[in-house]
Amino acid sequence: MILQSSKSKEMITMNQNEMVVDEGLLHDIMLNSPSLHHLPQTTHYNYNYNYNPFDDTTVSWINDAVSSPSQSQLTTTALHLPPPPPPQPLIDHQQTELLLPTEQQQQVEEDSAIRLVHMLISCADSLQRGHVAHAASLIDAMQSLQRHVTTASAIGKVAAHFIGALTRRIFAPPLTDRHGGVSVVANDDGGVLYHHFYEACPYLKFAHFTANQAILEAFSGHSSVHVVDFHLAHGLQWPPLIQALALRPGGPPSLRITGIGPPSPDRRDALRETGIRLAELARSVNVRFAFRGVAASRLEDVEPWMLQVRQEEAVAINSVMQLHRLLGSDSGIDSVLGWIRRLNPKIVTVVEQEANHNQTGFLERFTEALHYYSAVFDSLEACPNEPDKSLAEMYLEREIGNVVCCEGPARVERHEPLAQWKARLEKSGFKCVGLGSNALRQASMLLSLFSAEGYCVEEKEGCLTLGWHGRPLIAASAWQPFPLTPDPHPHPHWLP
Amino acid sequence: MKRPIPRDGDGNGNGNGDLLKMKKVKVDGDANAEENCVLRGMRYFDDNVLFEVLKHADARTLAMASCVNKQWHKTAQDERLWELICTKQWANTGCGEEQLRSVVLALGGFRRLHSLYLRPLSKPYSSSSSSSSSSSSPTSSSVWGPISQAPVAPRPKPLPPRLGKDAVHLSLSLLSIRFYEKMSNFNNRTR
Repeated sequence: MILQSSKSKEMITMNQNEMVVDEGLLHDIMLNSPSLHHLPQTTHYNYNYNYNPFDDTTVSWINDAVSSPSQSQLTTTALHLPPPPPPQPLIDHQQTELLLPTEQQQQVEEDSAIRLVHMLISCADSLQRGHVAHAASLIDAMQSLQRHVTTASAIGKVAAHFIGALTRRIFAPPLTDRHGGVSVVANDDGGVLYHHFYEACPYLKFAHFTANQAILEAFSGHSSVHVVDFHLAHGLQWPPLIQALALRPGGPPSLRITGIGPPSPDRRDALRETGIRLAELARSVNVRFAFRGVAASRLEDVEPWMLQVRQEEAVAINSVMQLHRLLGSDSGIDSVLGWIRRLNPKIVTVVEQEANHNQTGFLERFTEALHYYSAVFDSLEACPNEPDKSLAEMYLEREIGNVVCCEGPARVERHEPLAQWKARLEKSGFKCVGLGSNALRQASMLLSLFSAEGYCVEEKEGCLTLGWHGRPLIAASAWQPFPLTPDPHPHPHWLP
Repeated sequence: MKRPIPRDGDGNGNGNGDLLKMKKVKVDGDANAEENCVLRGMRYFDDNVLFEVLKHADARTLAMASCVNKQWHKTAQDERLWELICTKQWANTGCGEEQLRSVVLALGGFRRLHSLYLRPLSKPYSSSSSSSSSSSSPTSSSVWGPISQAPVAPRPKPLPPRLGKDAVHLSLSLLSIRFYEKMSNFNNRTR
């Protein structure tokens, strides 16, 4: 077993305001903002400069709105603040609500939910027109209306998150500065939220298994293969691939994995640890394996030479929900797609959220996000309760916050629908490789094992989508570059 | 064999019935008290013999056999027996036996593979077929519809359906993920 791991420290663009993050301080990974002084004077919590003040307000609303005791306990202890005193009328209201007959209560809830949705949209509309005062008053009205909607329901949670996001947008300047924004490549909470999102619902599993199927097929016949993962996280995508390569008729190839990820906030080297674990697994199944970690806070900062691609290798590029982060800057996506193409990979697997959250108009974006995340939360509610969902919901809440509150380079969740990605990739010189019936069967089988009724897998023009009640929510596709004309002067990033 | 041998209660199915008959044959006539007969009988009941017998058991019988006593538990947990059960069930996977064996044993073994993944995949009609699905929420029923109120399934007399290549590969993938997640340093980071 050959284990190599290195990190190009010189190429890391450190976020100036990155703070040391303890894994317990989950809310700290949300939007960093240096502008504490912009907060209205009415908030009365003690702000420690190490903590994001917006998260305090979020915590208060979540403590009020979300009924799950474990979550409020977690946030209170993590932030080391005294628990925010819940407003008295809220508690009384909740108690009196329990006395209402169930049917009437349900009706009240449904009506309130519908009204909340309308109010959310009109609040967004006011914001777009610049009527901030009106928007703020709508926020107050929504908060009082929110008490009628139980936050154990999907719509209650969605409403709470969107109200929170709108509040941050109104009461704080929208974050546009790149250094004020979240680290672009991935979350820097140690990947805890991502891992819970992986366990709680089938979207990421679907993404991984579908991409792996395409990669496995593309690698057939090659004895030396190299996978470049744009977001390694815990490396959960790769054990099945390693296992499948180990069982390949004719024996396994030698496998290299290059994992890209954000630099670790504390002194741990997260990428290297993941690499060691993957190497251990590969060793157990007798697959020759090497790992390389590339730490970069933005995907644009990665240069192809860092990947150390060798000429005789078959290369697969794997991007699960990463490409959309490049759409903030004009040239980001084009330059990355350009160097991907020059590497001449055998396959490029792209999985993206199936939504249009990159529209310039705020209202359109807001409405689309409201519908999209409502569907996601609905689907999450139907999943088994066993893997705890609250952290998975926090993962989604962070996405919502980014879509609604941020602008400019700080807004990284710029989801675009599959049709737009297809157009973009074709323009950059890639052609779509059909995912095949194996992938479709595998996805259906996976769903039957892990998920509830209501999820649907669809195949459309060689791409697979997983959705909820007919609404596609995540789309997976595979691509190959059109053959390039041979270059008489090989690119410097080819190693001999 | 003149002394009658006390039976351990009625057999729980054909498999155990046969095994009890085997035991009767094996015990030699001993003049000691009847209560000691069973124990003495077991002394002569070789692990190898038990192994040979259990080779013919189906999955359910094998699982039940491992609950009988320590000796049976040790023998019924043998990976070779579970390998037989797994490979009986699935179609040609395309890879060599030796290759498959070394990979599966490294990743957790055939017994785990069967109980955690192969069994749920070959019985899609049971509502709580996988360990991760809970029946606490009424909406979380399996894809096959609201059969959560199904009565206890009758003992499956026919062999379980042969699993296709896809189900086998999916099970192996899930086994590898489980192995990976259980690695010692994994939980330190995620919890």
